[in-house]
Amino acid sequence: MSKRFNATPFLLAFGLGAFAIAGLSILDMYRPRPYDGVVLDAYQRDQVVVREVMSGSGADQAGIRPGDVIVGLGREMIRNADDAGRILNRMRIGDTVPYLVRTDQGPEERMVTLSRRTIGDITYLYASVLGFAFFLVGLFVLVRQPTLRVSQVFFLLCGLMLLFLVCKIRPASYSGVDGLILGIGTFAFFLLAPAFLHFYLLFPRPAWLESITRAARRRGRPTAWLWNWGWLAIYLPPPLMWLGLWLVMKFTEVPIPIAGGVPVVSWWLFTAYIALGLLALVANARELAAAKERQGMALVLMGSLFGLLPFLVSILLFTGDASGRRLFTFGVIPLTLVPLTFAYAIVRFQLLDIRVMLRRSLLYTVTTVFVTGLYAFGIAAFNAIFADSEIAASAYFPLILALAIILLFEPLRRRIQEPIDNFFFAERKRLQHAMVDLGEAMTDQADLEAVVHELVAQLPRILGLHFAGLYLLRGYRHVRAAGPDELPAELPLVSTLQRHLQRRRGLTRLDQLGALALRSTEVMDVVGKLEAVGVEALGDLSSRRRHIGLVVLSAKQGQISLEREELQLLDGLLRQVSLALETNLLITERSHQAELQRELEIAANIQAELLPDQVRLGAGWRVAAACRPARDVGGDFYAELPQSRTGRGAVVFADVSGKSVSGALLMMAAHEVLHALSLSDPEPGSLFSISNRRLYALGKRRFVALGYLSASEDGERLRYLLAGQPPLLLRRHNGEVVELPLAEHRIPLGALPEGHYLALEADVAPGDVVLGYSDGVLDACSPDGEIFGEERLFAALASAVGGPEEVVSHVEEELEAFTRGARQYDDVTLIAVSRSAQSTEIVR
Amino acid sequence: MKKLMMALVVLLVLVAGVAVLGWWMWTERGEDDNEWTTSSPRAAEELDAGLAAIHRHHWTAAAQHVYRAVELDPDFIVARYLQARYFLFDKNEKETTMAQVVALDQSELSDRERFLMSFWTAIDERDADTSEHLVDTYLADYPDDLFGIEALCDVHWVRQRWDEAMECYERLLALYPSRVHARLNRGYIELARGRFDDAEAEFEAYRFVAPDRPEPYQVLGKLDTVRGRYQEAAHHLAKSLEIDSTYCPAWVDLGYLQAHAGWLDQCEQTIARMIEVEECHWLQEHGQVCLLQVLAAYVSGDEERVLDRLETCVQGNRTSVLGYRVALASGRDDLATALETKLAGRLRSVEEAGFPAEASMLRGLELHYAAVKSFAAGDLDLAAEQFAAADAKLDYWGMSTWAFKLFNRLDWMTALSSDGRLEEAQTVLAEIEEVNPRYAEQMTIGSLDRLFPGSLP
Repeated sequence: MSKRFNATPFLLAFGLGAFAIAGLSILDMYRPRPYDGVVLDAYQRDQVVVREVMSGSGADQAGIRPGDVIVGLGREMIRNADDAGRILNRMRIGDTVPYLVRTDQGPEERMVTLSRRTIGDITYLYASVLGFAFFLVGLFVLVRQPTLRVSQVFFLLCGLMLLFLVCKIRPASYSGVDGLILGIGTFAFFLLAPAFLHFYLLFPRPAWLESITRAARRRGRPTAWLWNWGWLAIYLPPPLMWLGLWLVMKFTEVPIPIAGGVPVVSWWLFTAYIALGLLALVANARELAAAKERQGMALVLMGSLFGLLPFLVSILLFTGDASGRRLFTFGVIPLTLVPLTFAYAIVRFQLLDIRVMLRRSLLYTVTTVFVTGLYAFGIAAFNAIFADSEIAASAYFPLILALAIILLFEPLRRRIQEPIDNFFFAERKRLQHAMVDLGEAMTDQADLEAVVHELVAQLPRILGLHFAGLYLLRGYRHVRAAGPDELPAELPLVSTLQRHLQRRRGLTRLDQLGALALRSTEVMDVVGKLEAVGVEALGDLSSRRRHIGLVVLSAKQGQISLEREELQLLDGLLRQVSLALETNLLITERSHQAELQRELEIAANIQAELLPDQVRLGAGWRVAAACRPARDVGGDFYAELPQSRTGRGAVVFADVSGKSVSGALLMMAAHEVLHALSLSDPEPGSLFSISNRRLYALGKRRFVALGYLSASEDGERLRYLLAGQPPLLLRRHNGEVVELPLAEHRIPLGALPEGHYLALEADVAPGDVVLGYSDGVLDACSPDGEIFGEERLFAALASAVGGPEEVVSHVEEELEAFTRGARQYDDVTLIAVSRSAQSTEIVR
Repeated sequence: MKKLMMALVVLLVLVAGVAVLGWWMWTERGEDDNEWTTSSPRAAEELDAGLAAIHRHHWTAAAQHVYRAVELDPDFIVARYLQARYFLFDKNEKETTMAQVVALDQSELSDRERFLMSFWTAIDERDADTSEHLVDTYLADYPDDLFGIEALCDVHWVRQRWDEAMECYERLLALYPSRVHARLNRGYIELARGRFDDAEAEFEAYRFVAPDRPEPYQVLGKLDTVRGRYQEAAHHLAKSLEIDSTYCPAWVDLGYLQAHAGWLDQCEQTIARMIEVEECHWLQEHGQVCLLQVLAAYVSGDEERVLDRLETCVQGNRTSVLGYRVALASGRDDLATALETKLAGRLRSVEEAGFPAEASMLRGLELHYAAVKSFAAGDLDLAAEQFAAADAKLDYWGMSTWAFKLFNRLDWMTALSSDGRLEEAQTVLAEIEEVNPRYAEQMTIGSLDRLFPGSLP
């Protein structure tokens, strides 16, 4: 079937117009005005014929009778009801107005006193209430199912019924809008019967029409016309008949009997339409498989029969004006059955896939009002019965009544409330229970996969969906954790969409993401992919702390969409699911973390073992070193390089960029590279240059700050080379502290592809101590956020007494005192060297 | 979807607004703008009110409005012309004023004003051809103009083209249903055709619109008289005179009613009171009082008095059906011949003026005279034929009492019955009684078989 014409906007516009016209009619009917009590025959356009005279009205008292023709009013001759209305509108309530009427006895003048009156009577009020009841039921159905053709037709039917009841069943008001309103009412009447038939043909599903369509499509015949324009054939006969009647009235003298303000023949046509419609309804019912639908159809059939039949019978059998009107009223009252049964069938049996969820507080209020009314009536009756008795005179009487109310009111209200709850909220209760059960099951599940699969399996069952799916966040992607294979395996993490979903909380229909999709191609892509496989709603799974994933839901089985109330219930469930998933994820992550911690401890042990117990520079040199990693594993290290052929040792101390595992890995790499390269006994500059290339090749943005210390060729001087490490400090024996000069090129290893490093030499007198350190020393922070800095380091070094080991210990103590209570952010390495006869030193 | 809905709602509201505005403008639109050439809007309003009063035959109110219009704007040409035409009773003053007004510069006048003045002038000059031409020309430009349509209807009326006049008045009433002038003339036409109920409806409409005027009661009284509803007629005519005791046609009709009804004492009193009303002295001049006295004498059977009054009537240039037969019956052939001569003269002048309906009526009268003469001569067969021919020429309106057609039929019936043609006589009698059940019984006193017994076989 090709694309169907969407009539909903036009119908709503029609409804708006109908509502406005009906409102105008009611205003016109209930506006106080000078009134003569004459009801005119609307079908006599060329003369003003009295159809009815209101009992006791001015016209009645003046002797004007049905059948009289009003030819003059207020000393003016009139041609039609418009003239009469114009003149009457100039009059005031209480005026006595001369009427010239043509009676069987000839022209007579009657003096009519205009009374104050709103024209609308109780019958009109009843008809209006009934009309608006129709309209509201129709509007409710259309709003719930705007795309269903049957709900569109039902709305049209209800709108026409409103116009017919409000605009047609009304006495003439003489006002300016009278003709317009009556004309619209007549027009509505002519379209009403076809609308009934059209509705019956489609209700609740056009089963047999669909079978015809399928057959036609199989034969390759176009079917869109049947759905879009075929129904016009139903609506044409009444207007054609109306045209024929008009021609007869215009060009012949043939009298046309009128009933209820319209030609009798049009009522016969109306009856024929209804009979055809009911037959169609029965034929449709036979095609329906569901018992629930058939029950609803039966109710609609009964409502139509017992609502429309008395109405039509009263119209057709009693066409006389006075009695006809009375019986017409009796015919209108049973008409109430039509909207009532239709509404009940639609709500109770969920025809048209409409489910009603009323606010419980509203029903409680209604019940309370009802019970209160019941009590008020009871008390009034009781008072009336015992008014003259001694009981009523007793002082205990009010007390007994009050006690009775207190004791009986609440139980009675509860008794009444219970069946109402069961009727109106049975479905909601079932849904709520199912949601709670599912939520509890989710919470109890310790296994993430079980939570995911339970949710995806249960949601379709509870809500009647085709399917559900769940995606979990993996890095920057959502990966399908459960759901049918048709769903995309992965969905990108689109921050715009994510923020939108989180702001909205809970489930969002894809069609509500239209505006967002227009602004973002990524969102459009995601929405497009999901729509393509039949997803209708998308929900965010997030806790307060983190985003967990997405849940996707298909459309419901049948024609119904996910309703707001269902989405609200799902919101609560999704929050529970989010928590359950987060708990499961946290548990999983915690176990991973524990494993990692164990691994880190092992790594730290290994790393600690890599630090030598002692380092040496050769004879006459003493070395002390310490390294304290900031985390379990660190990036700093010191090491003694393998002995050169000269027998002189060399010590390196390094600070690797990055901390924790990554830093440790680079530290290992740097350690091994230096060791391996030093075996070939290169010059420090060559060692640094080769190591630089090697470390640069290992990874981008990873580098190693390295310090190199060794004795000079003659063993009297300290050779050193720094790449990215802070300058060495020399504390002379007199306590003076100076920085040793730095080479021009001192870029950390691995930062640049090439580096030309040059070793320097410094004189170190006996008693002098040279201190090398990593930047973790300078950057160490106090609990107040103050850094240790060069000044404190200089002071600590100056105040240290003794050789390298004392210097290292002292600086460590100063550092410890300064940073106590604060977290260590960087690894700390200290290495102190001095000249002496012995060169072996202890390292911690 | 939402945007489309909003657009639809806005469109609906706009369309509804435009429709309501259009409808309001249509229903609230005023009559055509005044096309009066005056510097004073109030003068224009007064003239409108004066014209409306004229067409309701509210002459006093009309005079007040028109005089006020002239006071407010002395240069208001149409108002001055209207004032002279309707409300200046001195013939010389009237003619002088009208001539002065017509001589004024009319270049600034609107088409309507020029049309009305030239049309009224043509009517006053009894120039039917010119008036018709003026109307046709004006209506070609202004087909829905009230004054144009009304002028056209009046042209048809004056030329006694009843069908065209009825159609024209219908058109006028469709536009202006309260135009009493049209109601009155339509009533006369219906009366002429013998459609008494329709005539009564039109006169009732006239009375309904102008209940404070004597005219509608007078015509209703006259109609009731023809139909033999004498009590109702007396009521209507009394009401007419109660409204305006100087309204002379009501005095005359009251006298005729009383004579026909046989209330001869009252008739005498009415004649005496009528003579005393200064405004009705012209009735005597026109011989109306004389004819009424002839009728009263005839009904009372006083032939001498009939002849006595008849001589006065003849001197006053009046014809008298009753007097003619009494003159023949009493051997006063001279009087009868004088009446024939006067009738022939009137007939000639009417035919020359181009008023076919009135000519037909006078031709009927002439045939009636001839029939009476034939009856008197004993040629009953010829008399019956002539009465029948007269009947064809007569209708129920046009002669002062409106009852002449009935009277002719009565004679026709007498001629037929005297000739032994009883069945035909019964048919004619039934026709008389259908109009007025009491007429035949009341008017037997002067019947031909009594006056001319010698003519009977």
